[in-house]
Order: sequence, then C-alpha cells, then structure tokens
Amino acid sequence: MSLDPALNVEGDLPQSLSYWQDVRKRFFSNKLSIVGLSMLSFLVLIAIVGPIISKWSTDGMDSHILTSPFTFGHWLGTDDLGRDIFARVTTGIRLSLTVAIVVTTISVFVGVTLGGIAGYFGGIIDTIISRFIDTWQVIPFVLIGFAIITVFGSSFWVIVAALVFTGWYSTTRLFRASVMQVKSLEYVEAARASGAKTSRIILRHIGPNAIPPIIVVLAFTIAGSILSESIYAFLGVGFREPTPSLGVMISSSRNFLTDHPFVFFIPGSILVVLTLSIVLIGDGLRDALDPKLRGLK
Amino acid sequence: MSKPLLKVTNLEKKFPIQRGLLKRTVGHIHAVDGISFELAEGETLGLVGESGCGKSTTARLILRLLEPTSGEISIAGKEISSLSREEMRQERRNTQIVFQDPYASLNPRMTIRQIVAEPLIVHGMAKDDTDPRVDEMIELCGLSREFGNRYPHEFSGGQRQRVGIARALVTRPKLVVLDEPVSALDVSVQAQILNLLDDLREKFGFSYLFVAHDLSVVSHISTRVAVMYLGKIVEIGTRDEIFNHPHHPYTKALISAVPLANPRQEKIRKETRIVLTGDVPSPANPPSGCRFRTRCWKAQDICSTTEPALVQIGGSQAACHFPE
Repeated sequence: MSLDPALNVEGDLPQSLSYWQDVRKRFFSNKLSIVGLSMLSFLVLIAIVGPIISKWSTDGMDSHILTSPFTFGHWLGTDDLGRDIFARVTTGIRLSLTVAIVVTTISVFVGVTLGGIAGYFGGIIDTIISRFIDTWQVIPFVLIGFAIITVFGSSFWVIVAALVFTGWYSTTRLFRASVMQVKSLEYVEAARASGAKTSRIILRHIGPNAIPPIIVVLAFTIAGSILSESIYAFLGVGFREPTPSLGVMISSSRNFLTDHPFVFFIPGSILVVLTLSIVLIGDGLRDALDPKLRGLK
Repeated sequence: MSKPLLKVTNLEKKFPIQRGLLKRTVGHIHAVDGISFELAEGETLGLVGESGCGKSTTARLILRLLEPTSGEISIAGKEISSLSREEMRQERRNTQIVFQDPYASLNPRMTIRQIVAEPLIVHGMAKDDTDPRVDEMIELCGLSREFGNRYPHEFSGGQRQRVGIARALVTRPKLVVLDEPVSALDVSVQAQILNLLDDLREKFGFSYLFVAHDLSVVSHISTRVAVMYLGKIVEIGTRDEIFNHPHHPYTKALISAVPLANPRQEKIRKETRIVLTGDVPSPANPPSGCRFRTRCWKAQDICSTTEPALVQIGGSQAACHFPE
C-alpha cells in the first residue's frame, strides 16, 4: 500500500485541541475580550456586593444633603431627592442585567426553536415563519409599548415582554440561516448516507455547528436589551420612578444636568461601560468561534 | 460477468423549476433520463461525462439521498426504491459513499476516530469509538492510529480523503459509490488515493461505482465504463473496449481530448483531435431525437426525429444511429 511516510511518524505529537478548547484559548489570548471580561466582572461584583455593604437604601431620602457630590457617608453622593446614588446605581446594574438576561434567554429559546424548525424543515413551514417575521418587523413597538404600559403598568414582566417582542425575531432569523447553511454541508449528507437517524443528525452534526453564531448574538442581545430598557425608561415607557433603573436615573437627572452633572454622569457612564464590556466580550467570542481563524495565534 | 450486485432500470430524476412568489412549476430539469445499467460484484464501473450530465445525481439516487422520479434500483437483489425510511436507513450499511470535497465532508467538531466510528455506531455494530475495527480501518487507509484523536482541520486534503474512505468502508459495505473522490486533490495525491482504493477492493472485494470526469483516472481504476451525456448513457462497455474502440462519437471526442504521455503519440493525437463545438444544451429543454446531435459532426435527419437506443456493437453497447 502506498503510504505517505510523513503520516506515520511515531513519537510526540503536539497537543490536539478540541473545538471548544481552541475557542477558550483564543478568547483568552485576545486583549480586548479580557478587558471586557474584567470590566463586566467588576460591575457584576459591585452589583452583588454594593447593596449589601451600603448602609443606605435605594429610596431612603436624606433631606439634608440634596444633589451633593461625594459627601461623607454617601460614596457617590445623593440625587435631587437626597437618595444615595451608590445604592441606586448598584441596584440599577442588577435590574438591567436581570432584565437583559431574562429577555435574552427567552429570545434565544424562541429563536432556536422557531429558527431551527424553519431552517431544518424548510418548505411551507419556513415560508410561514419567515413571512410572519417580515410582518412583525414593521410594527412600531415603541408606540405599542406606550399603550401596553398605560394599560398594564410598568412591572418587570411587562417590560420583559415588550423587549422580547422586539428581540425574538433577529435570533430566529439568524438561527434559521445558520441551520440552513449547516444542513446543506456535505458532512450532513455523509451522516445521512452512513445511516444516521434524524435525531442524531440534528444533535451531533447540525446542532453543534449551528450554535456558535447564536453565542455571539447572545452577547449582543444582552447589550442591546440593557440599552433598550434604558431607552424605554428614558422615554417613559419602561420602568418609572422610584424604581432604581439606570434609564430612570438618567431620565430624572436631565432636569438639573447643568447644575449637578454628576447625578447624570454616574448612571450614564455605568450604562456605557456595562454595554461596552458586553460588546467587547461579544467581539472576542465572534473571533474565537470563527472556524476560519482556527489555529491562528 | 457474475450476478449483478447493483441493477438500475430506467432510472429517472426530474427537478422542478419553480418561479415566482407562489413557487409555480414552470418546467423540469431532466437530470437523469431513463438510464439502465448493471454492476457485478467486485467490479468497478466508471461513470464519466461532462459537468451537469447527471453523474452525481445518479450516484445520489442509487444511495437514495435523492428520491428518484421513477425507475428501479436493486442492490443485491433487494429493491431499494420501495423501502420505508427505517428500512432504508438499515440498508445503508451495505451502500456507502465517498464525497468529492474532503474539506466539506468531515464534521469539524468530531475527531477522526468519532467520524470513522459513526457508521458502526448508528448500525449498532459498535458501542463507541473505541471499537478495534475503527483503528484498524484508519490504519488500513494509510493513517496512523495516533491521529484518531485529532480533528479534520489538522489534516491535508489527501489525508482527509483517507478518513472519508475509512468512514465509507468501515461497515464493509457491498457497494461503494465514489463521487469524484480524487478530483479535489493534487495529481500526486490522486495516484496514492486511487492505489489505496484498488488495494482495498482487492482485499475486501468491494464493488465500486466510480463517478468522475477525468478519463485517465477512470481508465486507471475501472473494469467497465459508462459514458453519460445530458442524463443518458450513450455508451457502456469494458474499459479496453471503450478506450480502444469507442463506437459513439461523443466517447470518441472525449477520449481524443485526453493528453498522452508519449510525445510522438501526443503529436498524432493533436492532429486528429476532435474538438466539439458549442455547449451542452440545457437539460431543461433537451434536443429532440439524439441528444448529442447538436454537437455531432455525423448528424443526419434521422438523429433529430428518432432517439437511438443502446444496442450491442462489438464489445460494448452504444446509442447512435451511425456508430463507428
């Protein structure tokens, strides 16, 4: 038999990495994703620890020290009603992250289910789902958001629902495209020709190869939900006073922005850093998950 | 010829052409138009033709990766076109395929050992990828068993194709369809892969259906050759008969296009070479009568009215009104 001698060299072979080991290695060798991860870890840490170590409550008013920056006892000062900004901001990060994670989880669940069905089965099912998304996209949800919140009030689940309404279809579209692309690859046909059952083809061949783009979208959906929640709050269709949301704080501080800018800038900059850190992680994940960049340092 | 392992009768595949929002069917692509042939046990049948003549479609129809429009396919006496999904799935251990593109045909998330073990696992022949037959097959295909834990991206095209061959042969199928298995590889690697395929066939007695467009590759490996043009077999016979005494003008033109190594013969070939004019007509609207008549230098009136049948001429069968 004609053997290529180079193929059969015995001895030490360099460590062979699985896909996920390689992804982890490349993610952690990317400086920007480390920066993003550090910033996010810090914010998550103060969101967890902050409200516990702060002696002030989020809505306790200290009428002696209104809008005063960095006063002794109030680490980040107080707002126009004398409420402690540190306690409010850290609780605000908690709220933003919770909303974003719940919204993203639901969106991805819907996206993977509907997108997977549309992409795998194609035909009339795909047409129905795709045309439904096209129709759905033209509905102006900020306006409808006003109506919903007027009727149902601005509770946590109403806001989650409002954000899911605008978020589910992009994950659905993306996963549909991803499944369609993987489904047409030759190794899926090879698995079918080998005699693999449909369940095995979906779980071992299509699933693992269609999931990575979703992970990237997951990061961007979290960042997008945080921003949307703040935008809704700012426009008055999201959380409302006295709920300590970052958007609410930004919104109420704009009346005295010129006199007391720190009341605006603290929640504002935290919102920026929070979103930026998640976007940096998403960028790092996109590069790490891209099979074309495999093996590059 | 011993008893046929594969018997294809009047196999036909039409793909609908759909237009517009409502997916109205406006016509059909006649990819495979009523072809019949047999493949004996231990034999290698080369299926050649230009791009788009239906050879890969034929390969996929035989494996039922595509559903035939009509016709019969029987493998080892078993009619497979009427099997249910589950019956067909179980039948697949006897018929395997090697794909053209070794970069696309291996799942990047699976190790070589997992890839090769998959056919055994899905047919309940092995519990997991530690089965000794897996490593044995990897080594038979010329790869070291140390490579079993590696991933496809760590291999070259030729090595990947060896993995593809190991996957196809691990269940010891009766029929192996090779869909242009070497056309994506370098010439030096092509020879290695062809020799490997030949060695394995001798050792285990596989039967190959070898789909290719490269005549020199086909003449190297085949015992019999079928020439396809626009969804039809125009000539079928033993390799020596087809290459030494082609009867159909299309076969003749194809063979005269193959360069020869000997400079003196090559000079003669260049002088007498038949250069076909025009393009292959659209399979959506094939010419009447003989499909080759639009490019044939011998075409007469009868060629546009009557379709020639495959008839015995010398040692092979050709479908032409004016055979050589």
